Amino acid sequence: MSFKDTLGGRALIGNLWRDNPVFRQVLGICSALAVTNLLKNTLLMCGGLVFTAALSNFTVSLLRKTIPKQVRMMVQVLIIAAYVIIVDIFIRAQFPEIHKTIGPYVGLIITNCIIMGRAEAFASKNPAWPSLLDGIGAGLGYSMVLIVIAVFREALGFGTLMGIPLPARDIWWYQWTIMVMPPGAFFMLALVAWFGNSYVLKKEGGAK
Amino acid sequence: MKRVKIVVFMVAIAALYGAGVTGLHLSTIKTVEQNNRLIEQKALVELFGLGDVKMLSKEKIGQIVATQIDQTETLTDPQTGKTIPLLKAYDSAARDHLTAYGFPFSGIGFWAEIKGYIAVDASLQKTVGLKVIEQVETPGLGARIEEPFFVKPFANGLDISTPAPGKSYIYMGTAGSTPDPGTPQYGRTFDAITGATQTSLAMERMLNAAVAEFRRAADNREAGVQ
Repeated sequence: MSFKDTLGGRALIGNLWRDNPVFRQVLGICSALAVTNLLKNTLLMCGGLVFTAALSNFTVSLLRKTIPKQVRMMVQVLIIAAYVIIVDIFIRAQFPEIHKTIGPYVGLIITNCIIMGRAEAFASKNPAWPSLLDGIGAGLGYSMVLIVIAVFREALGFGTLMGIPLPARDIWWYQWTIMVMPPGAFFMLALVAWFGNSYVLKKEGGAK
Repeated sequence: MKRVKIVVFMVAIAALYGAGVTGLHLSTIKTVEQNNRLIEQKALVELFGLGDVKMLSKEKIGQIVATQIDQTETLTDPQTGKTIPLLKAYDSAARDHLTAYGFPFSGIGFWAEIKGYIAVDASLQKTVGLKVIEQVETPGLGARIEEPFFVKPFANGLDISTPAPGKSYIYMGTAGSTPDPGTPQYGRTFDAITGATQTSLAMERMLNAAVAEFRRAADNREAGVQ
């Protein structure tokens, strides 16, 4: 049996495209809008989310037979919050300049529906290893969409990528201020969701 | 009995995770404090133009701040009673020639509080620097108040002599346009950030308030601020 036929492999690969958390499950939209006007901020947010999603899924799965059903969501939030605080403390201690920029967004990971959604829908019912892979897949699927949005928003809004000016910017580039404002994020998210859903449906033969 | 079990479980897991996170926080608290101190020290060195912080070691930055910046004095605004920390910058560790004064400013920006320092020359007539040390404005827009293009007019010297009655010390202007000589805005204008008018207006408001407070406090001091 190849990796992609295992439970963990299916979870990892499925989250990247067919069950992408952003454009298929419509989860994690708030941060997809909030942090995508600069690619650097987006990458850091994505790193934090992959870490939190993977480890919270892993931990919830390990404890799934111990956690009383009545309080399982409280425990999941507690676990997620602990990992987010670990990310925050790590960035604050090791990358203080970066923490100044994205610190306010790191706390938002706690409320990211993807993490809670995967912990409840997958990790609370499946073994630890596939749950870890599911968390990584969900984080990477989310990151993929955010990076696409951020590349377009930063390029069109600032004429830069990772803060580096694009080639011959003075000749061809005209600032679309709206792209770095919240409406620009809505436009880009809608376009990505439209493209992603159309492609997936077409591939599955479900397009009308 | 079942309820007791649930409560015990919740208490145990909360204690476990709480202890873990607290332990991590305590183990990094010293590093975080050092980082914050270094950020503050770098800000002061940049504010007064005492060196290139990218080229200086942590130790050298700390040494410059300790020897060339006097942070022991305060002023009091007679109108509000507010105490204003006064920074004095010297051109060498010997402290025989005072080059500039600095004082903090703060206020509400577009999203949250903005904090920083403004530096003025020894005659209190012109600015010599501006440094934002805390802000959470929109990345790429309002957050550009930290960038060189925004602070450059302050380093080049904006006029902060007492303005005509009813006029401001500092004005927000449009990028690329210079006020005509003789107008109240002449020599007192910084460029607004395109797409971040509210942050720019907030900066204009808080800088005017801070300069006005500082001037009242300085004028109130019997033998000047020195």
